[in-house]
Amino acid sequence: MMPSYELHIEEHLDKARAEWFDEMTIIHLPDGTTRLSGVLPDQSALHGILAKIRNLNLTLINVSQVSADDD
Amino acid sequence: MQFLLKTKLNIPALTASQSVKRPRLLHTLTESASRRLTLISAPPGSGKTTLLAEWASTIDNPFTWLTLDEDDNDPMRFWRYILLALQKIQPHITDELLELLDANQAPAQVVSLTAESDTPIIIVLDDYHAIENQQVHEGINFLLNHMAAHVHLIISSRADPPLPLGRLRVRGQLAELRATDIRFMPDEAAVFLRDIMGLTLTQSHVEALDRKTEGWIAGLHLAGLSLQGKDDINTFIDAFAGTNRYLMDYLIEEVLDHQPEHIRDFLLRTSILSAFCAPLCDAVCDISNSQYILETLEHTNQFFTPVDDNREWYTCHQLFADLLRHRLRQYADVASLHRQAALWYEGAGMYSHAIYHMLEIEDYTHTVALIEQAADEVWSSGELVTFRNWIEQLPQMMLYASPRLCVYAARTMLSIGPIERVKPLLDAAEKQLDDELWLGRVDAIRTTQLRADERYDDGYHMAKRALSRLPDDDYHWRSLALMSLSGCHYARGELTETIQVMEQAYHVAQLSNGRFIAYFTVFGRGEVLMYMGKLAESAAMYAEHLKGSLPVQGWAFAGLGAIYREYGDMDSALEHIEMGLALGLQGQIDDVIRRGYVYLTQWQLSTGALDAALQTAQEFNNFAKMPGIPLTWRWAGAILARVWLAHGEIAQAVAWTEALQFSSAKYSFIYQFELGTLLRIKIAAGYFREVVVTIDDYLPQIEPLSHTLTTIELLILKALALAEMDENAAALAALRQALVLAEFCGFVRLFLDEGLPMLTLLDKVKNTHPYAAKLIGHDNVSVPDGLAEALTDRETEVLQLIAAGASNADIADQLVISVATVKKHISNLFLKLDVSNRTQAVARARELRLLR
Repeated sequence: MMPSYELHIEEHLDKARAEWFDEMTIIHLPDGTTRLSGVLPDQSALHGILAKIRNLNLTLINVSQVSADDD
Repeated sequence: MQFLLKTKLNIPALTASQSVKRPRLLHTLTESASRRLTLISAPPGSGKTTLLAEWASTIDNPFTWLTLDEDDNDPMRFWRYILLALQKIQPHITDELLELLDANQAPAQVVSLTAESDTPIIIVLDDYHAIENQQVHEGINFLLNHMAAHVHLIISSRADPPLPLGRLRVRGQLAELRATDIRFMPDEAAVFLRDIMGLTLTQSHVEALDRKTEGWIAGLHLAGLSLQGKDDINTFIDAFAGTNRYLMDYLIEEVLDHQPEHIRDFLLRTSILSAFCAPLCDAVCDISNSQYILETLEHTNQFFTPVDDNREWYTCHQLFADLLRHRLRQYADVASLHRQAALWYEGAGMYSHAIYHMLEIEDYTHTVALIEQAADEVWSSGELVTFRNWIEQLPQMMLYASPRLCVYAARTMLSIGPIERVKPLLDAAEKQLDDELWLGRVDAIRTTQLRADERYDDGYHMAKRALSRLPDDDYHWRSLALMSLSGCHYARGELTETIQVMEQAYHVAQLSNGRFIAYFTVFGRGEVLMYMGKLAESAAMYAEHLKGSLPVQGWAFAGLGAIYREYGDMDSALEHIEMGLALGLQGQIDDVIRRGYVYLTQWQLSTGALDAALQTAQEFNNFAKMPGIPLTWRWAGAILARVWLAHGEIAQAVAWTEALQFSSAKYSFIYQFELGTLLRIKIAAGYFREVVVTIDDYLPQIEPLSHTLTTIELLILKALALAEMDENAAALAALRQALVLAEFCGFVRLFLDEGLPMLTLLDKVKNTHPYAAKLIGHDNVSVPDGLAEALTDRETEVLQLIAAGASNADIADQLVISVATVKKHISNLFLKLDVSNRTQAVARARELRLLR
């Protein structure tokens, strides 16, 4: 039962930085922000994504758990 | 720092009682270790390190272990430890290699150093979550993408490392063990609690504990400790199972409450430390029996584990330390604990730790004193990022009020940025200093900046002032000033002075252990000698440094290759240039890579391999796009323009000239390669008179400065331009001057690279100038007046392929014929072209316009 997460970052994720999030689906929103979504097995994986956001100097606006069920 | 250094490389000691046998996990680990990356990602206290350490003891393959901490965020330090760890299993990692370590080159170096091995190489990085520095992450990412198939990385961390793992997963290159995988199963929990912690528990007790902790090992451990010596197990378990408090808080309180007071005291006070040895604990607790306490605690409940067999240093699990530190806040005088620790560390010469504790209590005055003491050591080990971290934790006011620290800080930022901070720091320092040595150091930094800003005259004067102020034995700083001074001389085209200053810099660099700088001064001199026409001397200088394969030696190989090419010895030239370029790429050293690419392109142009030259030049241009030294992309643009010229693409070459950003009015030595390119393009575009006028303007400017190579080059171009205007007498006069100089030095390709027009001119003076005859005869190319017999289509195809640098086997593949047939075609070609080798064949074919 692996949870799905959505992270919302303020910046438009350029190609160079996007490569680092290769386990997530990246959607560029019309207001210039970016949404990252994906299934992460546990909290450790989530913290890994958060660390990437920090290291790449991106701004985190929102994190939410979307669903905890397999479809 | 030495004692802790070794311990980072040790596989953590396991006491026999620590281990619950977990064969299924060990088996999983053994299987996954064949993947590129094995990841153990689980919260603290899950037993990652214990599991890995146990596994390590079961395998045979070469194994390196590195326990990371937050100080390893300094890339220099990080890679130094990696190389030290690898050195244990790979003896060809020499100490000299370690001394020449550069954080930018290190990942590429590790890849090549581990490229050859008969057995798998396993690298374990424990506590990877300590790393936050993006440069380190990028280096590890590089390793993952490039390391040989027999190298395996194992990373243990509290969270997934911030690396692009998706790619590895998709390719099946990633193995993972996560919290749910490594938690204790109920049967394992039972073994742990009963056999290892010696508790008498019923099955339902065990299950209750396992359920509440969810198999989390640290939780079970503390629960077990709380239970030791308790009579009423049921009450405890009921209360424990029913509590809503944070598990660990609850448990640590239980554990602490049952310790004798002096032990409780010990645990709380030492919680401010990250590593423990008896003298340090004695100082912090104001007791004298820490060794006994540490050993007792090790045996009774394993709060502390020794890091090596001497039992000199111990660690405590981070989790427990955090919990204890939290409780410590109830005590009054945490500050004095930090102070005791800082003073002890200072006495032991372990400045990094001393500084940490001083900063905790915000004693900035003392911190500044410590940083100043640590400066020299940190500097010689190159850990500038660490130094900058310390500086950044000081209040600005404090920093600016300490002029010496400002100088060190400026020196640091000069190397690793941010560059804008250098000047304000120097200005602040200068106002407060009146010591000649320190003012000299300020000057040394300023001169480097002036040179970077291309203010060479100001830089020259500042450097002189620095050198007059600095004492003779202030090696590091004199080295800085001398290098900048030589750069200013070089930029002003003062080649003789450049060599003199570089010689001085060499000696000083040796004394200050600036190995890299020492190499630079040797190779820099070699190059300047080449510009001065002293080819033999230059070659001799390079030849002394060809033993070994340090990336920086690539410069010697490439430089020597360039000289061979000038002499016309094409085979030796290629061998050396290719080696030089390979070493440069391996070590990612800009200075070497640039020369490698330029010399290789020039070699390909010299041998008529035009397509190969274009490919090389384009590869170079791609490389030069990466952020780096502006010099690199300037050379990349210029050499590509020369290749376009050789291909007859005049428009492309002219386009390059339009983007030039310097004025060609006054001759400037540092732009001489671009100027040479520009002049050749103008000749090709028909601006002959303009070229002659320009060269006549330049020559008197450079004649007094011994720019022999450029002088010869300009005379050659002048002769060619004049010949195009049919001013033959003047053309030959210029050519004669060039020949006299060139013969003295040994230049061959300078003439031959200009092709048929130059050969025609040389032919006119060959009877009066033996050197001209020698040049013509060099490739045994006679001035052609047509072919006796036309080439067949097949022969033309083979000829084109030879010109592109193809081997016989390549040609056979491409044309789908046998190698024997290829050889037959080639011997027919040689007969028809009246030549005896491939180089001659290509040159002859070019002259006869047989190619394209």
